[in-house]
Amino acid sequence: MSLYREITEIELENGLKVLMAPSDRSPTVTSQVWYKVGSRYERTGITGISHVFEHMMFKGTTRFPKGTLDQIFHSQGMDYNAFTSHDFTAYYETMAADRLEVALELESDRMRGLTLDSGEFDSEMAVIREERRQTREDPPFGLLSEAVEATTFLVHPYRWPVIGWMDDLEKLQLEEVREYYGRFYVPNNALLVLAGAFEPSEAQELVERHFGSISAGSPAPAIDVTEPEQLGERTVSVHKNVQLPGILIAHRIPGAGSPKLPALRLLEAVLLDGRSSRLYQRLVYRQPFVTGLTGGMHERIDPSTFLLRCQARPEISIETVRDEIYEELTSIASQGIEADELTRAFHSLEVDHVFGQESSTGLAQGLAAAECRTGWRSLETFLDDHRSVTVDDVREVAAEIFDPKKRVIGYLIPERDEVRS
Amino acid sequence: MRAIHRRLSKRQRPGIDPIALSGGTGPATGKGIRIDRQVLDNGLRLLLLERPGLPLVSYHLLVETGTIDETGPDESGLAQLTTQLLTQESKNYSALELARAVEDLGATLGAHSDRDFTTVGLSSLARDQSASLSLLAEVTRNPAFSTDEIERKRQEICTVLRRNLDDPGYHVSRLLAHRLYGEHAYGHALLGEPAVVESLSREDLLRFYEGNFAPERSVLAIVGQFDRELVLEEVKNEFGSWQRVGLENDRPRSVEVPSRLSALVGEEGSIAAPPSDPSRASASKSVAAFRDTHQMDGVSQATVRVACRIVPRQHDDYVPLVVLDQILGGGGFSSRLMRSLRDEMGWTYGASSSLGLHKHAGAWVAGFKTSQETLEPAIDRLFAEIDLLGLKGPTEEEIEHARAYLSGSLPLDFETNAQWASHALEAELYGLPPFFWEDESRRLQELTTADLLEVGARYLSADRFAVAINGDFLDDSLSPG
Repeated sequence: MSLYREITEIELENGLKVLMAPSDRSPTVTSQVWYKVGSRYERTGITGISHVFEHMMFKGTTRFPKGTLDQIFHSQGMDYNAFTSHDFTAYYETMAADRLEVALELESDRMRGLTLDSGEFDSEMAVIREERRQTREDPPFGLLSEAVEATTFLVHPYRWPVIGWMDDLEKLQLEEVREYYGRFYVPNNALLVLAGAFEPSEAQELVERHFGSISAGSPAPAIDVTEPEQLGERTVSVHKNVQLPGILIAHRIPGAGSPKLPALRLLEAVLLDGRSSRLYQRLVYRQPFVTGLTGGMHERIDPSTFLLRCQARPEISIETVRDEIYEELTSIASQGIEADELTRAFHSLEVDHVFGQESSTGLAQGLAAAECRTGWRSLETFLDDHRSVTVDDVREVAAEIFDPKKRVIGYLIPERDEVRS
Repeated sequence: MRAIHRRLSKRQRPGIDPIALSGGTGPATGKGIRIDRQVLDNGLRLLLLERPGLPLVSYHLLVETGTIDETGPDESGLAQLTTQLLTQESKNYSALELARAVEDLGATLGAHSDRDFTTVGLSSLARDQSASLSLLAEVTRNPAFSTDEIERKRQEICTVLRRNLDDPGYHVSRLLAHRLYGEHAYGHALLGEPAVVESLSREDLLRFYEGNFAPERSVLAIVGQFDRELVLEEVKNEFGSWQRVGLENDRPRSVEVPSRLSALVGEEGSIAAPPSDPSRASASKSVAAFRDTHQMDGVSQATVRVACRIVPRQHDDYVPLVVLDQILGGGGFSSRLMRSLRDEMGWTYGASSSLGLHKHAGAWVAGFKTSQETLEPAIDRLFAEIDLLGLKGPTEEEIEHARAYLSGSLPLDFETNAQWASHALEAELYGLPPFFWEDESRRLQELTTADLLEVGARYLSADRFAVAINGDFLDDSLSPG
């Protein structure tokens, strides 16, 4: 079932790591360049700067001036874009297999040759502020999510949003962007993943041709921040013009590589996956307490969060919802789960794992994320690591993670409503 | 993401899953892939597409029914409520038993009702081929419609409808649907209206199910890794006894789609002549035929959506419309709207357009979100772009880029089982030729600048559009105009 044994791994002299996963399932190929930089590497005053590159990387290089990058990507029929997380910034192209070299040529060019023109920067910062309004300020849970993260993390840079605070987006200087580019956009801070229909030996030659002459940079600074232990419940609220009150609960979870993660992933499935799941049955089916129930683990390099989110149905108080959620969580922590629940959770995870390899994009993304967190070879034992989890493992991890004294609760309050503790 | 609009509606495809076919054993499509089409005695069309490599199999049942079969506004939401109850429980499985049976396999079961079609899909590992097919047959052929589950699902939908009131997109969609389709079923919200959903009875659901879910209106697509002989036998066992309802003579159901814009755009298949006075686009300011607003307190951005009526999916204008849409706003960062409103002005995170095509009519939709203070100039600019493209047509360079993108990206539409199913079902639903994408690729290469100018002129004029805006109009900085 696994395709992982076919993967070729190389490292160029300049430190660029390359993973190649050939597959003949369809005549397409995906190229992804992941830079190990995200909001985790930012500081107060320049929050959002990592995400600014997601925009500026399309604004032109010395060789391909303004407008030409989009035109080339588009005229080649590529599905292309970029995304930024707390830990990484990634650029990808999925295309007909015969166009791989075009993608490699453009990615290698903008790794070092970005123009960073001041006029383009000013215009794009206005776009980013509109993006922040659209994705954070207007949606019902946007600002509450930011408040909960900022309350969960007192010290770690995970406390600020990937898109950045509006005040920083208004003040960010181009010189800071240029300095950031020089520090993080270097081959020894990047990972290139190719997946799909190609010959590894030919692809390796192309990679060396286009990336091999780029000079290595200084190693990126290590981020070593330990969040202090949480000693009591924290609450935060946002008042907003919404129809229904909402709740967003956060509990801290271990970072990448923790041996507790397999049990946690199965616990996540037991709680939230499908209509037989614990929280769906309790909050949606048996008693219709909530709408829009969603949540799960946000896996990152450093310790991160398990989030649960929903809105109360009309006539149901948000305090009732909160208490119902914790009755279920503490029940699992004390009494554990049934063996058949664990089996269902594993089957769900197994099917998701296989479907994740169906497209070249899915295959590349899974490899890149694993490589940047723990090394891609962790995928080789992924299913076995989860198959060996026991019901006791799940109970123990539930007891540790869902300690009510270590919860952060965010309340979304329709204007003029109040929350009673 | 860099923007929210990515690969917008290059094509319109039915729902979550899809397929299409030639007779008997069809020719190869793609490398070594063959689609077999068979028709059971009861009229059920069966499409088999073997894709070895990953141990996955997907079943996609499309039934040609949806809101189109809601007989009036007093049935708005009936198709969706009926469909959602199919996967809630069955005659032989309680809700919890059904959920566990599906999830024991690690499978995913889903159902959705759209305007012209309804899909029920189930995907699982290939080793569960038989159990999965059996569950699909169970939910589609043996609905229980118990009063408890009806009530539960009814309240769930009504709560979602209330939550939707916080969504700017919901409001502009409703306003535009009303302008485009009036009281016709295409104007019904897919989830329905709260008061109507509250009033629907078990008898309504049974009548809708029994009158519209029939083998002669259905196509079952099976895609992935499976034992062909075994699956054929099992399909006959599970679906062979499904009784015809006798709906063939119902087709084509002649559907007059009234439009508030009908005086401007004409009816399906008979779009009005090009503008008689080409100079009108150079007038001082383009004005939409209709402008509707919705007040939402406290939002920082206005949500703008505009739409005009166009032809059904199967119309000859389809390929030129796809090309024009690419150039206007469907082509992502290279499109005119994105370049104009985002790159040049910095007014929005994303501006885009898309084609919403159905069996009996279609709509061309464009939109963006922007801050209150840039609302009016941004609307003016949007309509200036629409008028300009309608009047002057695209440039040769734009046409070549669009052509290159659409042909070059075609392989990306055939990566997954669901994509293959979607294409095959699209052909069945709209009566398109087998392997229609090959025909359309040829048509794409043959299109001339004159063809595109002519087609664009039929639709692209601000005075053929309706505009809907959601915003905080009580904010001093914004005027409803």
